[in-house]
Amino acid sequence: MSLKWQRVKAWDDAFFPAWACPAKALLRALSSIWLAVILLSGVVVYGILASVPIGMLALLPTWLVYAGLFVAGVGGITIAALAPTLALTRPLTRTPRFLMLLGIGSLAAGVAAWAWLRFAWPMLEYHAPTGDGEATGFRLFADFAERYQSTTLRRLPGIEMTELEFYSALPMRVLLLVFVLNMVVATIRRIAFEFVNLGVLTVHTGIVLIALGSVYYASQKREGNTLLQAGPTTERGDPTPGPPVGFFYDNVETVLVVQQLSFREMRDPEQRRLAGVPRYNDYNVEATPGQSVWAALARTLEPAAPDGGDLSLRVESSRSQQAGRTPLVDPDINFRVVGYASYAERETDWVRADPLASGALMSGTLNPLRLVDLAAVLPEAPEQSTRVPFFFMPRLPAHRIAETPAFAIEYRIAEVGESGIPANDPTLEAPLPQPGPYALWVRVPGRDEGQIEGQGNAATADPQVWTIAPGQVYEIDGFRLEITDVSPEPPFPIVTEGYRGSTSAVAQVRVVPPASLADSGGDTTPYTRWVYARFPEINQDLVEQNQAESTSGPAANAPMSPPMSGRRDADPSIDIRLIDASKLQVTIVEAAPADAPPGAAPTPAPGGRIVIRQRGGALRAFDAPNLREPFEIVQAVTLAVTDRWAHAEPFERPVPVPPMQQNREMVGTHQRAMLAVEVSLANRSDWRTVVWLPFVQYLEIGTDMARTVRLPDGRQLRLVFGRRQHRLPGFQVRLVDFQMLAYDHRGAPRDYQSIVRVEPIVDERGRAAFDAFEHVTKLNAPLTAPFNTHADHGLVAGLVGRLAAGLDPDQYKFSQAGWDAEGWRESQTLADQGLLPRPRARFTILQVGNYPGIHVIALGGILMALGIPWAFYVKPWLVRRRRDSLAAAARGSTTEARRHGGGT
Amino acid sequence: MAVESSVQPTSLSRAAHTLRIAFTRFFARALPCLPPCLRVSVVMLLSFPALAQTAPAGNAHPESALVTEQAAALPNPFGDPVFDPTVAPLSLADKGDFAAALDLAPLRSLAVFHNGRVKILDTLARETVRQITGRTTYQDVIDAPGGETTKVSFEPLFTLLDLVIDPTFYVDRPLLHVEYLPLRRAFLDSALPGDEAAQQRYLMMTRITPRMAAEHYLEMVDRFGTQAPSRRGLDELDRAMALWQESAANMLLVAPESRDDSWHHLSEPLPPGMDAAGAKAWRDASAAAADLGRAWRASDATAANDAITRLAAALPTINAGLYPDSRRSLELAYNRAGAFEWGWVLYFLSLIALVLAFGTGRRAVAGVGVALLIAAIGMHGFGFVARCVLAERFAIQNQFESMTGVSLFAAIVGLALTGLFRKYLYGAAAAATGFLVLIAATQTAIPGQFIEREAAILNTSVLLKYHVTTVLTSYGLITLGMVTSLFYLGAHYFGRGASSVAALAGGAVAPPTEPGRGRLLRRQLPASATACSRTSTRPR
Repeated sequence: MSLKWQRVKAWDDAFFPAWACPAKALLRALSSIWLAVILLSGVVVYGILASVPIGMLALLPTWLVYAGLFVAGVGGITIAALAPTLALTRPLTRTPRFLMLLGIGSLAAGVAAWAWLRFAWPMLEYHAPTGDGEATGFRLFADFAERYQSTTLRRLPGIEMTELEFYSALPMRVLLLVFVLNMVVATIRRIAFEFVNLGVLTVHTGIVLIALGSVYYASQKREGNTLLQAGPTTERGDPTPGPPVGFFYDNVETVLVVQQLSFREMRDPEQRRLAGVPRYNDYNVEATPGQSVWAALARTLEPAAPDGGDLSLRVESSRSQQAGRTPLVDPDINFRVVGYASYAERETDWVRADPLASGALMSGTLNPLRLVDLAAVLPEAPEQSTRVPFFFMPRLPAHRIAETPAFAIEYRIAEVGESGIPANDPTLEAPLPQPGPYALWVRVPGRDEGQIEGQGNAATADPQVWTIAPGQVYEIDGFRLEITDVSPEPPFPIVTEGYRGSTSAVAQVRVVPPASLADSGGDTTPYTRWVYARFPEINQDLVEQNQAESTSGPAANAPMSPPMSGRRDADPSIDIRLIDASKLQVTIVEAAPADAPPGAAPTPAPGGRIVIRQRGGALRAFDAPNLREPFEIVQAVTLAVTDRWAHAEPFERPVPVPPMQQNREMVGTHQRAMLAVEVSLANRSDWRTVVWLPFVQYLEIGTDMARTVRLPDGRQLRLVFGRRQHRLPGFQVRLVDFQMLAYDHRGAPRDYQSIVRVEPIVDERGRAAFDAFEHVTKLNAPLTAPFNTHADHGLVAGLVGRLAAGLDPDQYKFSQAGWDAEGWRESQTLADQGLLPRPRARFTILQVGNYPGIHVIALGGILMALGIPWAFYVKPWLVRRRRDSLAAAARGSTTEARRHGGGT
Repeated sequence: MAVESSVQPTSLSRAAHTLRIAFTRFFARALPCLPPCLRVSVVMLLSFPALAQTAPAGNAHPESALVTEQAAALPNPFGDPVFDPTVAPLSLADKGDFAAALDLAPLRSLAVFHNGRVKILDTLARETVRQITGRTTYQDVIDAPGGETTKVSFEPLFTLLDLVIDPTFYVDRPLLHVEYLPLRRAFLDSALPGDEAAQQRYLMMTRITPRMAAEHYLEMVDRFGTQAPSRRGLDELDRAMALWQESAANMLLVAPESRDDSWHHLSEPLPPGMDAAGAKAWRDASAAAADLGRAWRASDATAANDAITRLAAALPTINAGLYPDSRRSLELAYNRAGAFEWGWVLYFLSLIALVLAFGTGRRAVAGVGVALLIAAIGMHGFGFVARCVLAERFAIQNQFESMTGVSLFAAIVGLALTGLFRKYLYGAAAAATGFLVLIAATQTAIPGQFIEREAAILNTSVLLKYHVTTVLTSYGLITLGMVTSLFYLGAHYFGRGASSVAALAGGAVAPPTEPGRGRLLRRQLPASATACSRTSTRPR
């Protein structure tokens, strides 16, 4: 205890009256060393919580038990073996005694360790329960440890912080601020301001400087990255500078970018900061703007991460927008974050929509939707009855059919005025001549115009229906038809727009037209017709002489183009259709009321016609006066329409990805996240909608990820969930060229270099803050701007500039961080083929960050580095020296005194 | 910020959009008139937008490619393996005899490009066999009548070539390492139900057969795919299967024409414009490889040795100017020396000797300990330096290298302190540190044991080099300090209290109470120093 501290304590006792004892206690606490120890221990614990999964922390007691048992077992046996040896070898001299103790001790420890591992450890070692077994071994809090084995505290719902955010959070700040206060107070009250104490004073000053520097640093810190695109190459293949970029994206902060669109003007987008957006857990992944098909089908989503429950974060306009500027987004439009999926795939659901408000009625793009229940009722065991819901969108080919291996259901809506059987599908109720899985319905439209010349037979009066099999040949009106193949599914996916994702039985029929067709200007070239059972409108012909050019199946309805000249729309001179009787086919044709206007709300009880084609072709058709009433399709299996929507709109929503399928590097980065934003209007309390926005890393190249919301009054909004954009202060950068420097023989990358041009932004008076310059940015040669530390500024100006830049929050460093590996690889291949002079990248990514006050922090570190040796080596030496000199002086004075005393 | 909240309009919606529209128009109208390089550039530029959303970080560890993808479609240079289920594979004993009759030495130091660097065939073999079997040499057991078994071991190069030339031999051999015991057990339960003895045998070998893996892999994925350790095990098994089936793709044995070109696979067609001598050598090498394959499959060791000699002679003459020379010898020496393995053994012996010297007070034993320590550091240092040369970088950039670097720095400092202060305690601490760290690095699955390319930023950063070196040195010194402290604690608790501690601190190999055992014992700790060690000076 220093003399100064004793004096200070005495002063405290004298100064503070009894009633001020809390103030005295607080002052004493802030002066104490124990408080520093406690606070620093708190920092250590906080750091552990930041980095170590709580599941692992939960394993600590278990490992303590393991370690205790090991030490007890091995140590006990070793000590038991050594104790008698110690006694027995006492008479021996040092060398043999040592050798015996070492040998017996090592042997006993080895044997004990082996025995422990052989017998005890197999009983203790924990094995999680497998699919068909139970957990074995010993583990405390096993479930908790398993569940949170890779989850740190900061990732739990309600906390949701990155490591940086966690370290910047309030508890850590309080700990550090109290520690700094403690250090300042203790330094002032305990340490004498003497030369000998220079070391500890320097150390403490260094710590305080680091703390103050960190406060400044943290308050001004910005870090992110920017993507610089390459420009087009010249004719010789030389690169040209890419577009200028005057901003960068924040690493952590997210924004909702809103752009209001209207016919009159195109406003600039506005970015609104999102506070409190989660990172690691899912919240309300079921959020929808209304009644959805998935909800109707009872499809539930399992969250990929722990479900944090509901979310409600208001998204406010920024202050600058509120402060009297012309608003970029009308102020009556409100935004709220209502859901978050941390790692998800995008899938399309359908939601019920108002035909009028959505504009579908006006544009004629109505998508009616029907929900149908299939019920299998077992009379003898009604409790085992099952109900399977389906949905159909009769206007969309891909969605009007529900298919299973055993049966298929198709739902159609008859056009207005039709009696129930669509006029364009004469095959629906066509009987099969013989039972069979497939039949061909063929008609030659030209027969009404009389006999085909040159043909002895009369033109067929009615369409022909044949039950077919591959290899069979038929003739009709001079056309020769050979069935080359029939399959329940097309060998290639249907890619025609509107039919994508649908499937149908398909027959390949080789058609040889009659020679007489040429007389009427027809094409007599043989061709193979691909006949789709469900979609005759996309039937196609592959003309034989060009067939070799086509290496893939027909892209149905693909426009004619020179490379695909062998493929054409089906020749109308013969109408061929396929009837699929390979499994039970149920077709529901909902009748439309004769006077129903287009898009009218569905009637409460529609009727319709049901056509059931059994496997093999047997046909049953009947009228159903009310489709809501169950009607039997086979024994004990019924269908019933449960709901009818006049219009449904697609709704993109997240489907959480199971943790084992996630790329761990993307967890917590938002890169695979989706955000649910609710849009509402201040003056329309009855209207709101929800849109899920995928995260966009770089806004300028992620325009396809923007989502559009149409308001009931016609206004439109483009919404993007992305990162906050910061402007670069007074300058912009552009990529001039990029090089990946590889090890020899195209080995791994050795370095990356981006040649970057820094250009000042010229003000209204034509003045620029600095001259434009270029810099080769490598992994370890970052660019600094706007003050270029690599340029020759002269000694003094350079030094002053560096120091000023070190404090300036608008001084940025650009480091090479990412590159276009795929583009480089592809262009390398092209370069090898002589198509490019050398490989190139389409973009480079630079890490952008400022480091305000970093030199202050460094100075603090230097002071600490200087003070510690002083405190530990110089001070003791000074103290010894003073003590020795005092002792010498004391000895001298004693001698002198003795001499004087002796003399007296 | 002028408009804090607005997205910079010049960039987001205008510049990029305008640029792209302009390019699109340009593309549509002018592209057919452009020269090929410009056309390709424009196409590439227009096609990039979605890619950069998840651009790879430039500082990432280079992607590992155990099987060279670009050569996967090329034919096997040693000829196609015979997959005839009616023909019984060679017996293990015959395979062993054939292996013994082969002389693979000429092939061992041939250069091969694999996974981002040029290495020698011996290294590729060690890496491949380790990846597949979990150890550097493939071992199997010959069953003899009466339940007797004989262990056979095949050197890595033989195993690699055998996997490429005669993979069917291994279909029912215990080839594929499954580290995770519950997964291994599950495979064996499914593959050998009820056969406890066979299961136990495979369990002990830690390997299963390719047939077991192929037949039960999907079942295991279904059962254990959700559990992290099993999933890791299944991934490793998948990689091992790929190596077993596709190692022929790794035969990039032909040197390229320039440093900017890739190495060639032996089965590639000859590049256009190659000089006649090179082309002849390439053809000779291909023919020799084909002959080797035929002879190997026929178990004709004489013909195989002849083909080996021809192959080894032909390959270095193709683009000879770029064929590595001295580095191959160094790599072979590095592989053969097993510097880090021998290093821990020597450190251990040194530690034992020095501990014995402390206990017995024999100066000669201490001398032996120090000599062993010097030998260990020499071996360790050779490994470290050779690795630096082979890796073309300061080899402290992955976990394995960090450990070998840490222990080398600590051992050198310990040796220096021993010499400087004549305290053998530091030598013992150095030996213990070297032993503990090296045995952990070499005998456990520490990543980075094979020489690979590391993240680019680690290669060029001078600052990082100093930073990492300083940090690692400090780790080494901390370990040294810890071991030294353990000696003190041991002396305090198991020795004779303060006198033993003082003896250690003074560098004596015997307590000061027993004088007369040589010069070492005469070095006593000054009283002031012991006083100093007991009363700390706290900074104020």
